[in-house]
Amino acid sequence: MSQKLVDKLQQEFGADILAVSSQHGDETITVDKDKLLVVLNHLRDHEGCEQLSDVVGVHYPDRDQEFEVNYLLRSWQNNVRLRVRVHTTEGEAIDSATGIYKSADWAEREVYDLFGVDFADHPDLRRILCHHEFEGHPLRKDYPIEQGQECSRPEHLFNDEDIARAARRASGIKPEVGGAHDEVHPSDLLTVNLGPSHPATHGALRVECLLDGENILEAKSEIGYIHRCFEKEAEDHTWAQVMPYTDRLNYCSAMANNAIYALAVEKMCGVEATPRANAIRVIVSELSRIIDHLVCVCANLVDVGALTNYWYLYNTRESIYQSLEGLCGSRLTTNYARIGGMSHDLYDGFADEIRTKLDEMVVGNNEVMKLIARNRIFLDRTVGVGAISQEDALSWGFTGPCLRATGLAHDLRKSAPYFGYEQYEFEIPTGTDGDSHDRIMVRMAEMVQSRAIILQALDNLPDGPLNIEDHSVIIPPKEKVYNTIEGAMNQFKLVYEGIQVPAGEGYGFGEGANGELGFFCVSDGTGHAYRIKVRPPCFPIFSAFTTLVQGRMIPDAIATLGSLNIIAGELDR
Amino acid sequence: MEGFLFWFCGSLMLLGSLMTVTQRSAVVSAVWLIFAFICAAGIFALLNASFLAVMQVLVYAGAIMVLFLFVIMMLQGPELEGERKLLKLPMWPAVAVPPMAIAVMIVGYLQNKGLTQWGPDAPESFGGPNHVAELLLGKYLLAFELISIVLLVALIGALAIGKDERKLPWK
Amino acid sequence: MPIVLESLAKIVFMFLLIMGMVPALIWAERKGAAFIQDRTGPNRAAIGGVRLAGLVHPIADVLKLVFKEDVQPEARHKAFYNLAPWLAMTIAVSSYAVIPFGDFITIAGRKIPLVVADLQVGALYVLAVASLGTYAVVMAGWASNNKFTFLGGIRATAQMISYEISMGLALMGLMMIFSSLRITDIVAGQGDMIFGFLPKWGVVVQPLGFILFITAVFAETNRNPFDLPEGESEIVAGFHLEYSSLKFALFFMAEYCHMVVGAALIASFYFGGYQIPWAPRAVLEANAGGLLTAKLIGVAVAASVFALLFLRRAQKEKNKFNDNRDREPVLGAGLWILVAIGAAGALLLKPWTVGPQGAEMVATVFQISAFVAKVVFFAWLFIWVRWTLPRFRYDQLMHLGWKVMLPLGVANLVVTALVMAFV
Repeated sequence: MSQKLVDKLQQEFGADILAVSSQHGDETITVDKDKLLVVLNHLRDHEGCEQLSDVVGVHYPDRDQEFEVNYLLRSWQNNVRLRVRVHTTEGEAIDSATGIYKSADWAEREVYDLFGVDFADHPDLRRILCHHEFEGHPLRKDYPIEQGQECSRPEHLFNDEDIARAARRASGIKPEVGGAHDEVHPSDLLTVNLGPSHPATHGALRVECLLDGENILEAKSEIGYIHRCFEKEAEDHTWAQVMPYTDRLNYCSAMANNAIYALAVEKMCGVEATPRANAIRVIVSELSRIIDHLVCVCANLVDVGALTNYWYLYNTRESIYQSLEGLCGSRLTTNYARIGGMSHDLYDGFADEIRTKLDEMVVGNNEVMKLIARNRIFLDRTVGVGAISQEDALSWGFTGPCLRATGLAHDLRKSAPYFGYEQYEFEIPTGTDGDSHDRIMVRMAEMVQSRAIILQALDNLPDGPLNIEDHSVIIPPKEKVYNTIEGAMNQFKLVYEGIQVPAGEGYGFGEGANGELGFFCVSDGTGHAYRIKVRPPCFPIFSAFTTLVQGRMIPDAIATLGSLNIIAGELDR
Repeated sequence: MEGFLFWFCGSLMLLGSLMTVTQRSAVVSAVWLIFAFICAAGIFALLNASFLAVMQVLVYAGAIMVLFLFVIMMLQGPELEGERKLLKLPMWPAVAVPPMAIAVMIVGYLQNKGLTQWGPDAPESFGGPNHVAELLLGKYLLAFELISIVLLVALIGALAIGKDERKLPWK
Repeated sequence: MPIVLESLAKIVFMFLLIMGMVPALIWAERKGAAFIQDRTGPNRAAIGGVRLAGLVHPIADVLKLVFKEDVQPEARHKAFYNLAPWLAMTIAVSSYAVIPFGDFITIAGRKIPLVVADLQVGALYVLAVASLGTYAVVMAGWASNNKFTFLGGIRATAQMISYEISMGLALMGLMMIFSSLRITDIVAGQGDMIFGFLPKWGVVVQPLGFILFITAVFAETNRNPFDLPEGESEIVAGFHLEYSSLKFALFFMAEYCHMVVGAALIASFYFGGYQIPWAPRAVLEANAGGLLTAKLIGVAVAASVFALLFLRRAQKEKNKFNDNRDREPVLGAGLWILVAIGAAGALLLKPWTVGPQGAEMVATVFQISAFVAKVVFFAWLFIWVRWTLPRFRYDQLMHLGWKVMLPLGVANLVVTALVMAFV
């Protein structure tokens, strides 16, 4: 599909496109780094690539141009994906794409932070995941994985100049539109840290706000408080060993992370999971979506002061967690999927149990809707709060419920079905205004659709094997391991050397609870990943947070933050 | 009993007033002023002017001073470091005044011991809301209304002085 | 001297009533919240393995708070920091002085009104004391020297100033109708009837005033939906963020005292205080014997039913836990059986032959019970609302206070005046 786009681009740019490659259904064009912005601009304006999903750096220390930077573009309207690649080396800056895609801001900062690739004309090129005192760039191959660093000094996000500028800007606000002062003096402003430990951040994030009274004149966010360098760890483990780490990304919907990671590696290996495994993955993914949405909505409601809803929603979540625990033995850190299948089949009675629990969910959700749907205070607190337009949402890299709340019915389960999602009938709920209220309502509606999908999957659960037969990917059944020398050797090789994923690169993605969750994998043909880059949905979403809350009040910021569903685990990785 | 209460409230009011003017921190001053107001209310109550006493608390201590505090806090911000040093300077009245006040109180009380006549007892309705209302809205209606106009003028004046001229609502 | 003793006795009674209601309310809040939220609520603290339906928790809480370390911020303003919690508590309690909890009792020939201080300007006194309540919050917020507490203090000031005005305006209509500022007069006036069948309660003659007043009272107590000075999820815990141990406990208790005061004010101003509708004091006194008998029989029957229910549960859950918890229903049944026996035993004293002195006593007890019942109901209303509604935003709060409630209050006043002048 995107082959056509590549042909068109080759006609348009000719020799500026240095190379074209296609692997695992993904097209990549390599362009000269001076032409990058021209190509990106063309793609955005003429080919409908509205969104820059992610920017991925890869380090090849043996090459002349040691860094490879991939721009993952997506066109929702044409349902096309394209990777634009540039090569660079130490000291050679790439032009920043921040002027074209707003999501490039944080994505490029991340590449700068982890690889030391310089971006020219980036407005705010600072470290993002690592501490500001950190030395070196951890994802370079020459950075030793066991080298720790002690970083302790906190960073002040606002300097005097910022404060003076904010004061000048506040002075310009007319009283009719909320400006109360004739002149705002810099000393009138109060800097307040929301976080890193604040009741409403639901994780370690920090937003430093410049306040005039309760109005946020300017806000800056800082993340990375629970950065564990998942990506560096992943390079040190076999492909299968990475699976438990994916639980810890979005710990509210760990099962979906497992399944999508397995999908990504299966794509690299060129295998496809069995229908039964796919159906189970659909079920657990949708259950994950439900519990993730439940957490998000209930926490959001608590943030606006409506505490009781918390229990109506959380009771369901708790009972679903009990079923998930029955599936895999743990609640949060599930580690349920396997590359090529699942670790266990469903247990007896699972289907009926889930059916009752989903009915209970409907009851609980209806109770909540009764409490909030027509509640004037709730509507006042959420309607129009943290609103974002469709264009901005796309440019900032919004996906998932936050994008759909703006009215765009973009869902990867429909546009690029995986796990056999095309077999299920469901609708994509959308909002209209892209504000906190719509985000909450979209999530509430999505839970109903997820329930429908799960019920269909449970009714039509295919029989047949759970895991694929290809034992170069998945360990053989236990009776073979214990009874045959081939089986034992097979298991030994897979455990100690890992799955020999063919060299190449691929991007496996799916609709996580928060939006597009993707794993960009590079393999050099050994049992270890050469590079795994996670595209966490809330990373680009949170990058837009400060622009959403500037000029609003603290309570609005809290209500907005809750509705964006920022999970620090996948934000910081 | 009444004599004791009078001297008690009076001396505390004196202390409050003194502290109000000697404190360097505006917030502390304001709180002492509130204290003085409440003592004044006590004296009104002793004079059987219950309406006035409650109004003193309700209007001066409860409303006006809250606004004062609000403004002072807003302007000053929550930083205490600078003024904490200053706080140490004028602490002598705090040490000196209470004993003095108590002395004055005792002397006054002893002197008044022979004095049994506190003036004629006021009727029960004296100083009550009805009584005040009759005076304010009857006998002194004109003066009362004039004063309210004076207050309105002062309010507008304050607005005119405090606001940027270009942004006045009538411009 | 008897007047001092009398006052002292009344103060002690009121104080005990509040101090008794605070832990009861904390319990009710927790159990009530749990009831609303489909959960069990506190049930772990136990005496000798018996849990007493969570009633031990307030005691455990107090013990915990007393023995906790009092962590104080280094840069606090010492005097104000220490003063604020005491101020909060003192002010919360002192409103009680003017609230009548019953009509009067006659002891040794003296007719004693059941109110601590029957001020000529009682209604204004309530407003004055309420306005002072701000200072505790502001002082706490400012003296803690923390940005969040400071924001809490600022929010509290703005909120209290805005809502006191509406509160006063709402009360003024009531004062006009009963033409008095004395709360006892207002309560006594509510014993009358309009059109011969409708009790002349404040809520009947001033429905709009009632809505304004109850809203303002909610705002004054700093509870949801008006808990902006605390604003848990926004400014962390607002003004009491830096308080711990007993100082925090004082703020916590002050909030519940405010709740009781608020409930008592609503009951006194708008729901007839101690008045029982269609049963004025004369009726109560005339039928004292019958009423007392009926009440005792009612208590005995109800207690027996409860006892039976407990016994059934005891039989059903005989070996549920295999420890002392299994004795809970038996204990409950025992308690109710004692009550039933007490009530039945009292019937032996022939309550239907009660004399005039006793009749007055009975009437007073009935009236006090009516007052307490009303207070309990409104205290429950506070809890109910808190666990139902979300929180306002600062500007929405100001909008409601100044642009909605204030004009409505003025309109209410004008309409009341017009009706009184021309009807």
